[in-house]
This record gives sequence, C-alpha cells and structure tokens, in this order.
Amino acid sequence: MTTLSALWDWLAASKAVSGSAANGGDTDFRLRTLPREEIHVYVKPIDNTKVVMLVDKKDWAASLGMAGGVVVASLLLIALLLPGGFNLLASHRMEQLKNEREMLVNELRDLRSQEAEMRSPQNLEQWAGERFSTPQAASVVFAPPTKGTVASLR
Amino acid sequence: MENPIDQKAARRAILVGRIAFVWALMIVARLIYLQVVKHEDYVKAAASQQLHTLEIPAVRGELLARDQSPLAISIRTESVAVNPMRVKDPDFFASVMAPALGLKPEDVAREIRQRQDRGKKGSGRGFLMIKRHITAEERDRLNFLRRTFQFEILDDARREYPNGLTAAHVVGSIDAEGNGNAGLEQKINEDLRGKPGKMMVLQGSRQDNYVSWVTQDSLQGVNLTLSIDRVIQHDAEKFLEEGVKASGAEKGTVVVMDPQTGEILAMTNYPTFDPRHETPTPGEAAARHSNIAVQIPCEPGSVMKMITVTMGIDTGRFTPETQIFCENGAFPRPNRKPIHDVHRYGTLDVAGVLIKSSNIGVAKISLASGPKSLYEYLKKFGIGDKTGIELPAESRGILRKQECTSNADTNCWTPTSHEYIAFGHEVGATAVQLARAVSVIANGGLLVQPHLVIGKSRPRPDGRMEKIPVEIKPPQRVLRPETCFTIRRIMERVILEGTGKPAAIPGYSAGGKTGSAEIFENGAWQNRHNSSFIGFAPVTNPRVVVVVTMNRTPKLGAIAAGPAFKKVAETALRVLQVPKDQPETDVTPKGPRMLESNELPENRRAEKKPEPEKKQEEVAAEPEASPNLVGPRVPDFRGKTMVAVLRESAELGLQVETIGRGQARQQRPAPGTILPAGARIQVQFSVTQ
Repeated sequence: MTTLSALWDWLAASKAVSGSAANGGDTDFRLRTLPREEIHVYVKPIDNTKVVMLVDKKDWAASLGMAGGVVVASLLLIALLLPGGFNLLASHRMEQLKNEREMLVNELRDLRSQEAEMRSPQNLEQWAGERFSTPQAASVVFAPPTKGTVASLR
Repeated sequence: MENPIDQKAARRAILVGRIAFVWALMIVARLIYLQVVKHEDYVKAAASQQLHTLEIPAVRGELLARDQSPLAISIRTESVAVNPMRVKDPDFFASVMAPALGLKPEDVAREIRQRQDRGKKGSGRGFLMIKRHITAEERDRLNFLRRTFQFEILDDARREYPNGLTAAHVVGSIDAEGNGNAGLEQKINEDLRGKPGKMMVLQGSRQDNYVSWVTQDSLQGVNLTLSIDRVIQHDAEKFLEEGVKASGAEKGTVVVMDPQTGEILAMTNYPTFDPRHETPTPGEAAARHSNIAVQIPCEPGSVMKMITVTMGIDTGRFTPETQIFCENGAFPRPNRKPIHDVHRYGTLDVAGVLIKSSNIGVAKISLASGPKSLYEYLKKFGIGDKTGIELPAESRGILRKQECTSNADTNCWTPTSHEYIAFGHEVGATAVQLARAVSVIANGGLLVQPHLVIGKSRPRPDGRMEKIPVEIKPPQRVLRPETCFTIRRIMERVILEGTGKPAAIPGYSAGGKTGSAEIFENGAWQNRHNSSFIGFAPVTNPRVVVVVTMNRTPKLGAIAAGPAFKKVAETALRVLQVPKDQPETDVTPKGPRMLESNELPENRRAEKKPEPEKKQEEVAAEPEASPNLVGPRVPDFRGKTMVAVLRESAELGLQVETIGRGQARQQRPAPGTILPAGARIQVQFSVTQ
C-alpha cells in the first residue's frame, strides 16, 4: 500500500531522472506535501498466470445471439427506412424528369414554329426571289444525250 | 460502520441522478408539448413550407394546316411582375432590374411611380407586368436578384403565328389574356384553351419538387387540323390583293372549296391583318373583326341566275334549248320600271340566257316557275341559311320569307320580288354561301357543309394523342345529277363564249358565272359595284370551286374578278395535281358543242327556229374555229354494243362516257365531228325492243 503523495513522488521522480539526465544536473522535483495525503490507494497484486479461460458455450451463444440480434435489428431498421428514402430520391428524380420533359416538349414546339416560319410559302417565295434567278444562256451546260435519246436541246 | 465518505458520495450521486431525471423529464415534457399538444400547428407550418398547390397549365391547342404545319402554336414562357407598392426605391429597383431585362431604367421607374401615385385605392396599383415572355438568359440573370428584390416570375404562354398574315381571318388572334378575339381562335376558344388542373407538390428547401400528385386533372387544349392548304391560301391572298388594286376595289374576298367534301382550301379577305400584333392599328383592328367571306352578305347580282336557270331546267319547265324572247333589252312591267338588259337580245335559248346573262330571260324563267318554286330552289342551294362553318358571327345572308304572315309584315316577298331575285337583287349572300351553291352544281347535286376543321386531337398526359371525331353534316341531295351536268356545260360556255372570258384557265376546262350588283347608297346609285365571279374546274370532274368578290369596284363582273379567279384556280389545280384536260395554248377553245342536243342530226331536223334569232344564236354559240382545235373525228357508235364501243374507242384512244345498257342509240358529239382535245364522247345505250 502506498500513499497518493508517494505515488506522485514516484511518477515525478522517474520524469525528473530522465530530465536531469538530459540536462546533466540533479534537480529535486518532489512534490510538496499535499493536503489529505493520508489517503491511501490500495493496490492489490493479482497474479493472472494461473488463470485459465473457461469456454462457456452458453455465454458465447448468448453473446452471439445478442450481436446477431443487433445486426438483424439494424438491418430491419435499414430495410424499413431504405424504401422510403429511396422512394423520396426516386420521386425527386421523376419530378426532375417531368420538368425536363415539359421543357423539351416546349422546345419542340418552339422549333416546330421556327420550322414552319422558315418553310412558309411567303418565306420560300422571298428566298426564291433573292437566291434563284434564271441563268444566262451561256452558263447553261446541257448534259450529253443518252444513247436512246431521240431529240435533245443541243 | 458505514464509511462517511461513501454516504456523501451516494448523496451526491443521487442528487446528480435527480437533476438528470428532472432534465430528462423536462425534455420529455417539451417533446410532448411540441409533438402532441402542438402537433397540428407544426404539421400545418411544415406543410405550408413544403407542400404547395400548383396549377397544371393547359397549353392552348394548336391550329395546323392541311400538311400538319402549325398555323398557330403556343409556347410556354415566363413573365416578370412586381407589386409597385412594395418597391421602396423605384429608381434603385429600376436601375438594377431594367438592365437585366434589357429595358430602360427610366421607363420602369416611371411605370412604378405612376402606380404608386394612384394611392391605396387606385385600381391596378398592386400589379405591374415588367416584361412578358422573358428569355432563358434573362431568367438566369433574375435568379441572382430574387433575394434582393420582391418580384414574381409568372408562368405565361406566347401564341405564335409562324405563317404571319397567311390565313389570318381563318386562324384569328388572341387577346392579352389568352382568349380568342377573332377567327377560329374565338369560335373554338373553349376547346382550344383547355382547362387547367391542380396538383400538390412536396418541395425541398431549394423549391425543387420531391413528390407531386394530381388533385384535379387538367384538360389540354384541342389541336385542330384545318383544311387550309398553305400554298393555295398564300397565293389566293397575293392574287386577291393584286386583283383588288387592279380593279380599284375597296375590299375583296376569295374562297376556294373542295366541292365534293365542302373542305375550305383557302379563304382570304382584303384588307387583312397581322395576328402577331398584340396591339393592332385601328385599321388592323377593323379588319380583324371583318371576315367579309363569312360575315358580310352582298347582292350577288347575275351569279344568282345560275340558280334561276337550274330551277327552270330541274323542274322540267325548260330545257337548255327552250327559246325565250328577251324583249330586245327592255321588259315592260305593269305599274313599275321595266327590266333592262345590258345588251339588247331578241330570242335566246335558256343556255344563252345564262351565257349572255340576260336579266329579262331569267325574270321570265322565274315568272313561269312562280315565286314558291324560286324560294324552294334558293333554299335548296342554301341561300338564306347559315352554312355552319366554324367561324364567328356568320351571317345567314339576306333572304326574306316568301309568304307574308300579315299585311303589315314587311319582311317578306312582294308580289314582284321573284322577278328581281331571279337575277340577284333583293337577296344577299356571303362568299361562303355562294361557294356552297356552286358546289351543288359542281358535285352533281349535293348540298355540302363548308367546313374548316378536318381533324381534332387532344394530347394525353402520357404524351400520346387522343383523336376526337369531327362531326360534319353529311351531304344532302338537292338536285338531280343530270341537271347539274347540263348546267356545268352551260357554265363552261359562259367562260368560253360569254361574259366570263377573262376567267379562262390555260390547260383546264372551267365553268363559271359573273355577277355585278351596283351599290345603291344614300338614295343614289354609286357607280360602284360588288363584282363577283364564281366557278369551278375542271368541268368534267370539278376539284375546286372558287368564289371571288370585289367590293365597291368601278369595274364589272369578270373584268374585276375574272383574273383573280383564273390565277387562284390555276394555283389550286396545280397544287392538287389535277391533270390538264385542255391544250395549254388554247385558252379559249371552241365551245363543247357535244352536249347540245341540237347537234344531233335528228334534233336539227326537228328544230324550228325563227330565222333571225337562229342567226343570233349561231353567232353566239359558234365563235371562230380555233386553229389549235385539231383532233380525231368522232366515229359512229350507233347500233353497236357497249363492248364494241369500248373496244373501238380504246383502239382510237378516245374517252367514252357510257349511259345505260344495251345498244348505242345516241351519241354526243355527232359522228364525224372533230373531237376537241380532252373531251369525251357521251354514248347513250338502250335495250333493243
């Protein structure tokens, strides 16, 4: 049995020894007397060398059962919560896709409108007037008549 | 003895335990308070943050042309609005918002101030639409400003008319609130706009949807496929404008119709309007609500003679060869002014009456038939009745009752009305009514319902299209086919020999009738006319009926309306890929004498005409032979069987129209005559007795 002060002394001494050894000098680091130093810490020496572990199958099964139960419970909990969470994420994705679909349908309408505008008779007529003109006679090249041709322009 | 230290420690442990217990109890009590007592309040609060009711917008239906290309289509957009009363500093607000939207800050600030100045009770103070139909870039720019300013981004829709002015009076337009205010947009507004639905949405903190469920189904707008052909419509508009300017008219209209089905291929009025203009000019606003072809009846003039002559022939009182004395231009009437003709005619046959457009001739036909018969035939042709076309404010025309209910009844025919109605006075018809009337002749005696809508469909939520049946009134037989065929041939001669020469179509046979009615206004004749031309082509199997009307023009009938008829009909026949049935160079070929029964030798022998009138008739019916009129001579089929006739005609490359069965008894044209190109030989068979 030793007192708390003695214990501190012992701890301090080992640090002091290593510290003084490093500094090359002896310094006393003893603690001053602590109040209530009459408190005793009882240290019971235990010799475990002859302790033999007994395998208790009942305990082992109980422990395993407990661990298994916890795992199963956890899995059940996860299984209980997972579909809900998955549903929430899936529905969120569905909503995103719905929005995207609406956006694409709207874009399609816009494109159809643009196409109709470009292909309107009015527009085509305007383009034809601007871009197409009757070529001059000299710039016309006639394809050579094929074998069976009876008459050709040239 | 118990250690005093252990006692103290135990007491302290108990104290700590009690404190922990009380603390836990307080937490539990608080939880119970929040989750049990205040449960409903917090559920409501959470729902207000997460659960929203959103409108499922119903997109306005599309109007599609015959080739499924859109004439009117709605595109969903967004618009920015603000409550001006919540804007503390209009200048600062405008200086930030306006550049993001491409607007002038001073304009936005002024608008906000104006609304703020209206005071608390001023109308419209709480809402200002800053900009409609913002672009995606503008939307992105606004997203950064949403935390700074209180404005709203609202769902909106933009109506686009990609073909511009084309078919403006048919398609119509919509107002700022998205309701139709002209044309089909107005007439079928309820079907087109659909019905918005509602859905509940569970939203996250970023306002993105997690779960949604429909609480009220939306009804999307109906897509309508119209019978309008874009090319015919465009060309009709162009030629009408040219025609109106060339004839000095104020207004004009063109209707192109398929006589077999009643489908309107083109309908246009001049002046027209641009449906894309949300704020039209006064002129455009007037034109928008004035669809002449459907809403404004006018005196058809000589066009009505077609009905009178048809009545005479269909009732059996007259034949095309019946001679009518036309009083040399003035038909004296008891106690009133005489009826005049433009030219002085002696005796004309019934066909000549229509070809020469004799007022006196048709008045005499009407007198012989009686008012009841004329009224009955006008009704058969649909005059005075709405056609049922899907356009707003359709006029039923002007046709008073034939019989008066009392002496005070003025909305009925006078004892002399039928004489004047016979040549198109005291009666009014719209261009669509006239098109329907001509169709009766063109399709062999069926009264069809003119219509624009040939297909309806509604988009389903799954993206598929649900077809909706279109109800069209089935054609109703009102005339015998033989009568119609006879009238068609007479009307062909109107173009070949009579008043309708300017309307001749190169390469096609066509029949028609001119009409001119002088406008009587403010107690005087205005020397302005409602000139019209109605017709069909080709004559043997008409594919199109075209009605052209020029309002308040100084020119008459075919001179005013004929050229437009010719151009429009030519385009329509080309677009419909109708094969040509006449030599293209021979614009005014010789008349089809084959149908005149007096061509047959036996009829010639039986016919006895006064000599002078006969000369006049011959001059009228036989113009100078065209140098282009060359063709095979008609063989003599009489006495042969049908098989022999068909074999012989096939060998010679001739088209034969057979009537009856047995042996050939009669044929038209007569044997030995030269057959004009494209003409058919009509052979009548009968069983040998």
